[in-house]
Amino acid sequence: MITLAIPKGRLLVKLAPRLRSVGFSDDALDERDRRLLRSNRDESARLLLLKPDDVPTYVEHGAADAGVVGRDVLLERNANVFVPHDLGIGRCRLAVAAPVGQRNARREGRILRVATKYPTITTAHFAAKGEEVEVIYLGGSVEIAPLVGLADCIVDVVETGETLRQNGLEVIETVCDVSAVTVANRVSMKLQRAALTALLDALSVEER
Amino acid sequence: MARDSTDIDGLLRITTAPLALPAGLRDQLPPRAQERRSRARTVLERFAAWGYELVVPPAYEREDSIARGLSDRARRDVVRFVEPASGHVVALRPDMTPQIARIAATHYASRSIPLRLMYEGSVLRTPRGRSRKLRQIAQAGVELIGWSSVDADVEVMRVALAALSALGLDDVRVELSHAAIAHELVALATPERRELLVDALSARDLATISRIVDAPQARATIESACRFAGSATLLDGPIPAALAEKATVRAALQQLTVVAAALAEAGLADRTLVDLGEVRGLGYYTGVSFVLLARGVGEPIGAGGRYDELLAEYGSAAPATGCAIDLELVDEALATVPGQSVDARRVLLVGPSTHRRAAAQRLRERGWIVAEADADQLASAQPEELASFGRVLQCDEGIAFDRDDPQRTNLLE
Repeated sequence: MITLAIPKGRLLVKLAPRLRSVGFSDDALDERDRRLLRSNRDESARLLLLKPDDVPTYVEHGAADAGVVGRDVLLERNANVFVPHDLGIGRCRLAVAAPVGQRNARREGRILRVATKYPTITTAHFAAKGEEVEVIYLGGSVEIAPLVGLADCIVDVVETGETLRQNGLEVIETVCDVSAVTVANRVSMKLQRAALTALLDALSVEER
Repeated sequence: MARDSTDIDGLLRITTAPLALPAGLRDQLPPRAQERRSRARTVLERFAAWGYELVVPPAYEREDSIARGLSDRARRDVVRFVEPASGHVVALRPDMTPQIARIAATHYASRSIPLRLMYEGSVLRTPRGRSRKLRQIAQAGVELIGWSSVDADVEVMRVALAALSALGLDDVRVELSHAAIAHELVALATPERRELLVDALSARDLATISRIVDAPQARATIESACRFAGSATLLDGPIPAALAEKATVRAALQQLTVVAAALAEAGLADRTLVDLGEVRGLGYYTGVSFVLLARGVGEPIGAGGRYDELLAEYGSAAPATGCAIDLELVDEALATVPGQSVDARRVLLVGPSTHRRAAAQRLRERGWIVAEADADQLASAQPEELASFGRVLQCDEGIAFDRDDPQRTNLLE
């Protein structure tokens, strides 16, 4: 049996039709259901419904054979896994954003403070530009940080830009493009190649 | 060992314990430490049966020496410090192969019969992923030096499989790849994009690769290499056109075919896989390379390959190939196998000290494993403290008997 790690929330909604096509019932995909572990009809696969951040961990250690995750999370975790497909769903980007009109918000004599849920990516982004910054880790609602003076700018996921606009922020630069990808454990892929490839290929087919 | 009086149920204060080990380092405790030791011995015995001789390289040596065998990437993760006496920068070994290469090149230059060396010890490494923590890895390995034939490649794989088999791991797969192919694939990107390509290739992330490599033909080559993965019987089929262009790739595929055929002849056909997209170990591998895969373990439990250019770095060129087994991952693979029971002849002997010493000595001479304790120590012992003993013996006036034996049968007679 193949164990799939799937993130709860927005991505699950987008993946639901594809998961149905590989034999998961509506029941198994119901988010209100509190079971975190569900099987498909012929019991050839089971789902672990996880927090998105945890998907790479499960797959890297082999507790799940494969999964679906956003590139943002994958990059942040620097997980050593295979990435067989880009699913082309959940498209957005990671970007640096600052309060409107303050793109050069750096105060004299102080290093830039960046609030983010993505400390590894943020550190790497600014290091690549040769800029020294102070990274402030936050678990969510990152947009608030510049408004109350906790940080000068943020690095976060931007989809439509609506959240930024409503909070008086604007994109300064793109850090990287994000979309959902399939991931597979390196050993599971090699030892169960046929079954895993078939399952992940099915998940990567766009539903009609 | 009573708990501190500041320790209140339900309250926690986050502090750094002064005795905590550095991250990634761990104590091996009984009975696992013993188990690890005996597994390592079994592995070395199998290696020895194929003619390998033990070498014990030092735990650290000069950084510039170790680094000759490491990729730039591997060098970054090395733990180094300045040796006070000499002022030299020294490095804790992240890998034993460069050390063995140095030993072979300096102590055993120019031999006709291939040199076979084996080793066991720990290395310090920061594996990618797993939150990039430093890890102390217990390894046992072989190096076969001075033989360029594929016979040597096959021998190293068979030795490793035989050792794992002796531990009870009978279904380990060996997956073949080739460093010359990996180098060709990486060279398809412009020099400044090669590091990006290595990462993307390592993940077989074709979507990202298509953004790194612009030329459609180069992309086609990489894609066919990544798809050339599965059973080694793939090697008997036609070579994809996109791969057949380069002579180095054709030669590499020819070698892999010969290796796969030899493994099949050794009855290992079902256990042999191939993956041409593998770019592991670009640091010193030059030819046929492989990983050993066990079900239920998320990482390869062993890895090896040919490194024909490494010895020249230490002043005496020679072809070489080798393999290392990760003993910690072997433990993980064996964890499903039921654990060993406590040895019934491992006993705790209690009694007045004068009698006890003599009785213990006589029991040991008869093959018992005897630990001694005072009667009051036994009286206050927790049950788990006795779990590692097969039984508790008592001695008195020249007799030693099982504490639970109402007959008081004298075990010294």
